Amino acid sequence: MNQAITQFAFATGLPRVLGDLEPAVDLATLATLEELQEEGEPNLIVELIDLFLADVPCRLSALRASLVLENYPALKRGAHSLRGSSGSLGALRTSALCEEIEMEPADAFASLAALLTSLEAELARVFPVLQAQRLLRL
Amino acid sequence: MKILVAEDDPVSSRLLAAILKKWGHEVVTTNNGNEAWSLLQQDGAPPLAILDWLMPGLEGPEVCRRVRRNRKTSATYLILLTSLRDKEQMVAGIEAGADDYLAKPFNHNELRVRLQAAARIVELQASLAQRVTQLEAAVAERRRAEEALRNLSLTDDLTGLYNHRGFFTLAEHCLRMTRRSRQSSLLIYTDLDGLKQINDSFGHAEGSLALVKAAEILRQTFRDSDIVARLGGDEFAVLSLNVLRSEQDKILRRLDDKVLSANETHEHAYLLSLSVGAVWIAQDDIRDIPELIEQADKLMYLQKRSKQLSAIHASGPPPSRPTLRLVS
Repeated sequence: MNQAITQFAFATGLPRVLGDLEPAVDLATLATLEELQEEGEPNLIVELIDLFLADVPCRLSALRASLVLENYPALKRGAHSLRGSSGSLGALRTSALCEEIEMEPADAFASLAALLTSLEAELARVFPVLQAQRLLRL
Repeated sequence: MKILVAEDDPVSSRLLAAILKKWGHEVVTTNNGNEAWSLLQQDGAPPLAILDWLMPGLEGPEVCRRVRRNRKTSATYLILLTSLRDKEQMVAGIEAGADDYLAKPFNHNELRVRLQAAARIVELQASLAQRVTQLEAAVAERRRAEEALRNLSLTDDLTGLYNHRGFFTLAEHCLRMTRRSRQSSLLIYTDLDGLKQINDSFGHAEGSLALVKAAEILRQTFRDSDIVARLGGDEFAVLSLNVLRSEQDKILRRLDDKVLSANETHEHAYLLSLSVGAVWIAQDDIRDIPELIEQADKLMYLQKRSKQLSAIHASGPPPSRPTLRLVS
């Protein structure tokens, strides 16, 4: 009985919940980048993903630090930058969160803190997808 | 076209470079505003730059302002990347000196058409600059030619008489010819008295008019075949050909009369006055023009001195006009 319930819950509940969330990475966006591939050159999408994966961790630390130090201009600048790159690679929800941080009034510490936490969580979802996409193209 | 991409996000920068290269452009990238500004000032800098708004160092709009202020870089075509929703930002960008803006995240087609427009303007500016260079070269060439022509000129611009070069070239030649045909000549050396005072009291335009008037008087006194010249400043010289000794006084009197009549018929605030030194040249006289001029100059100086002395001895208050015409 328990097993059946668990199976049922899994079959209907979790996938539906998961399905409500946007995918972490919009694969169609990534696919459009393939048009830019030059023949004979190393894979552009792999290169871009590598740049992203390398850049993001320290960007996130910088954002955290800016928030703690209440350096709002630096926070906005960092969010602006991350917004561009995440959007280009199809991490659309990430990009939207960055935009919200950019638009938030400067001293709204509490909301900024919450947004930053959501951003970190979102990026945690994005990373494995990008890593997988990278492997596909190697 | 060579394009500078100034964007501090490595992913966006790499992406933009890939797009531009795909379209056949040469791309230079930088991740900060200071380096962008520095690169744009170098020789052979890209004619077009795509600048992000927020960058370490100088921000995009500040780079725009500097580019526009600097004469060397001011023609650079600048595209600013701005946030999608911020209309105020777009206006501020154009006011800072950007030629165009592109909202991030940008549409590839939009970028492509904006680059086409930019390319046309860059091309236009390049051909304009080239044309300006050509015109400047042509003007310089023309000036050189005019200068060369002036150096060959034999006439004085102001009076139309021969100039120093003209006189010395022609007079020597004519003198030799008259000697060969056993003729005598008369050399006159004269200057306009008080030119400095005329210039000081009435201005240089008036002084020039006085010189022109003196030239006119000399022309009327002598023949067309004589060589009448303005040697420079206030000095004139005449070589009158085929003149008998007995004719010398007649000629000098004629000159005097013409000066008198000029003063009577014209309303000048000053009187025209010439000091004259005359040297008669016999047919077997071997002196050359420079020697003769020197002699005439001495005689002229004597006349000037005698005028000045007469002026001192004359009774009455000092003349209100700068020059007095006295009996020569």
